[in-house]
Amino acid sequence: MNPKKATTITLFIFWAITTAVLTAGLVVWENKKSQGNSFNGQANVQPNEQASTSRGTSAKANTGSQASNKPSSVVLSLGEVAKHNKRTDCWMIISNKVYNFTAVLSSHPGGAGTMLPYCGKDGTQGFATKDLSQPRSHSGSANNSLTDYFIGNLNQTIQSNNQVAPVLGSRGELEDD
Amino acid sequence: MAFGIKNPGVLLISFLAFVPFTLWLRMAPLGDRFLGYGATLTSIGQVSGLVGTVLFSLNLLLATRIKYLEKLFFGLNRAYISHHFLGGLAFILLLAHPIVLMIKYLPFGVVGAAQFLLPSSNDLAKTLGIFSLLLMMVLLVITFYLKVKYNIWKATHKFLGLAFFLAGLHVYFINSDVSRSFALRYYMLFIMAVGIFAIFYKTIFNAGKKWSYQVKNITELIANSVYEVELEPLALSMPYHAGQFIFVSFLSNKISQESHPFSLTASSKSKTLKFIVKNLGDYTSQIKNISIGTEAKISGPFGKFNYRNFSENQIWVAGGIGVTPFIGMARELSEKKNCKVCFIYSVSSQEEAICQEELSAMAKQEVLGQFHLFCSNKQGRISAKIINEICQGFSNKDILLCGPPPMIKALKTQLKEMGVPANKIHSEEFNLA
Repeated sequence: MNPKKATTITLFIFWAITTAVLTAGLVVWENKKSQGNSFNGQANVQPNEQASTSRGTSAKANTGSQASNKPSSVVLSLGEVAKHNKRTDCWMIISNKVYNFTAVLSSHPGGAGTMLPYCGKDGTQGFATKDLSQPRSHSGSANNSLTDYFIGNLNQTIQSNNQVAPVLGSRGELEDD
Repeated sequence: MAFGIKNPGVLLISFLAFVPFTLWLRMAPLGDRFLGYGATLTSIGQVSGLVGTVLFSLNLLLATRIKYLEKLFFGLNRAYISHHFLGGLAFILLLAHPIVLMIKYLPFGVVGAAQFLLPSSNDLAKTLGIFSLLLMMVLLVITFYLKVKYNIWKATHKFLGLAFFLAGLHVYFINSDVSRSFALRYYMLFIMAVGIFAIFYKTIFNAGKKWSYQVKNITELIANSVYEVELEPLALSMPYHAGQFIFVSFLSNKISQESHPFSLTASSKSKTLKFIVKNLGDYTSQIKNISIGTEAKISGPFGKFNYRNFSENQIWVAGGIGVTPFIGMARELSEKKNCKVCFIYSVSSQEEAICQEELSAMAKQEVLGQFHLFCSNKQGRISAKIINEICQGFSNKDILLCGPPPMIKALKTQLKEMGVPANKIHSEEFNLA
């Protein structure tokens, strides 16, 4: 294959992908704007069964979840968070908000290893500095996507039925959010 | 590929491009680098950027025409062939760099991924990288795909230096592995300094020895089509051997001052330089209008095509305008008479043949062993088999080829199939364009 042909193909792929991503980004962003803040759903690619629909009804859907269907409420205390400290079930506190990062670990650009030590604990410092000697904060897009994993505020009481299914990385929306 | 891994220049560049990869590898355990999909994409994206930048930088050196390149690449024409290839390769790697890095953001939402590709006021380093790549894209589209006038193309191509400079700033300011490891950082800065040096050397200082000559005579060899230009030195005369080429730039208002390469057609003993020009385009059509006494700036000589390095029995095969270096070599033979040369000159039709009488006469005077004009419109394409018949066998003969690249490639393959060892086949590819 001569250089010209290979370059042509690469250029074509480059612009195809760039155009697709920029267009999709624009469309979704416009959508988000017009639907306001309470809408969290995005066309996310998640390797999980419980495909989060964009209507936020996954909060109710318990299909296929290994939920221990406790209809009771749960307090998001430090102790509760500490129970979810594994690769297969990872919760984390950042700036007094609790997140379920189980689904994120394998796709974390910094590698799963950098997040694991903070599972079940407060990762505010780690998130703010990336644990580097020259501290670096996370990007704007990383910050923006935190909301997708939000469970509740620290010490908040929440309904637990859709949250105790961490293996599938559910991202249930909370009505009282 | 024709230029292969056989020349030290290519080996050197490959080695230098491999170094940042090893430095990068040593920065973190391999497992971490490829743990999970996100980390893997980051790694691929980073390496692609690092290697692409090194190749871009070294490629700038390949366009400086520094004499040492002739040693590294076995001839300046080969350096340019490598330049084209490396340019394309660097471009592909640099295009892949942002795309691969962007993909890792897709699972977090397409909005985040789109934002990654766009310039942003709080990420200056990334923005510089974006502008550098965009500029590079525009200039390389002009180079690869658009047919513009040579001097316009050349002016645009020089702006790749600016694209490189912006890329350098991107590498310098970006907060990434390249900023966290001393070894990697300083290596990259060093390689980029080499690129910056190349830009200053060629584009800004136009360095490189130039010889001053003036036009003595212009002879029309084929009406309105082929001319031989003779130059006499204004100061020192340039030493060279037949088979080499020069870059010529005329200081005249009748023709553009851009420099063009031509093979030398006078013997090396001659006090004057001669070269043959065929009327093929904007520039070459103006040659006939140049007045006697016009000053010309010459740079050179370049080229490693030298019949004197080889055995006494040689076969020369010329295709079309590729005959020019052989004309110089043949004229030199007439002063030496120590070679038995079977010279085959292949043209598409007899009207196109240059210096046919002169060369036939040389065969009669036994300066050349044989001279054959091969017209492909009557006799079909030249092939190794035909050469074998005309020249009565290949054994122990060095074969010199010069002509259009497809002809050279085809003949090389056929000759090897007929058992000619590769070290007996020598070619000069005219592919500077």
